[in-house]
Amino acid sequence: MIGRSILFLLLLAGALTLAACGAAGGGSDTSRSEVPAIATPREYEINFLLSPDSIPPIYDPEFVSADKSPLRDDELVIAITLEGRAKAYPISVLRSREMVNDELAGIPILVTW
Amino acid sequence: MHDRRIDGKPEVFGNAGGLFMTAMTWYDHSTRSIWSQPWGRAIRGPRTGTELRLLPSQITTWSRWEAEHPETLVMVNGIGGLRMSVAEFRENFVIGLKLEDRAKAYPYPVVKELGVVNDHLGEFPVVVWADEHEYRAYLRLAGDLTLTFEREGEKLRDVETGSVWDAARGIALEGPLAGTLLQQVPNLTAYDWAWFDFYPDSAFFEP
Repeated sequence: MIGRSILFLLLLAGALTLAACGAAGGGSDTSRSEVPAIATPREYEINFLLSPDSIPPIYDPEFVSADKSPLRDDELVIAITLEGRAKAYPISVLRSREMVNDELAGIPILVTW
Repeated sequence: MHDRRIDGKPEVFGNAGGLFMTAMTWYDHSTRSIWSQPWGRAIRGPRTGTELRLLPSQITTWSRWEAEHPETLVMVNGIGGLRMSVAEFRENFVIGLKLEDRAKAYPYPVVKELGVVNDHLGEFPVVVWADEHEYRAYLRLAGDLTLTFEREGEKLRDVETGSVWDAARGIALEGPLAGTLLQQVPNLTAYDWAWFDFYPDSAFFEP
């Protein structure tokens, strides 16, 4: 989901905290300012906030059949069918784990939120 | 949701821990290239420019999905996270359709209000359907015939043949086209304010 990742919410929270400090007269800490890296032409700017897999992806998903589902009826899922096979992934889990490496009908798939 | 094969070989993806604009980034385990999630494309590293195939997926409630697909499996890792209500999810979100190099955003509340939208994405005729719980997007083609859909209660009816369709499963239930399946259109969801960061040249549906 664009605009709702944990990192984005962290960034927003950080911005709010900084704004709050500024408003309280906290001032800026110039000793922490960094010289920005010189970007090569057309290089996209990526804001790295955590080390890789700090939000741990699911690499070995486990499944049960619908009759054994622990989900509530109104729980949101992201779901897919491929070649007559169907799988559902709870949004509640994806919100905290963000990524699942899986396969469906022999096709390797990547589920992300 | 994407097909994670590159040149026919499965790739494993991790969380790069970085934001590109307003969305997450991945890294691939083979080359550590960095990928933008909404683009499904590598934006840094050896694989820059490589794009994964977007798959048609849906966001819906468990009870709906189970009723439509009783054979479904459900992932049970880490159950019990931050639950999200249907109401929260439906706020300000767009259904983004992608076909070849074209993209178009359909605000969920607008589609829900209209019930069904017959539209074009480039030269492709598409139909977008939504109700209180879920949405779908299909190519509105049956063989050589381009279909135009109208709501008929919970179902859809095509003007051209009068066939009645199950909107959620994309299959004709009654009429001359009974048994025909519609092809789903690859899609992703985004908040309306974030969509144009990633698809600035895309169209935005207005009734």
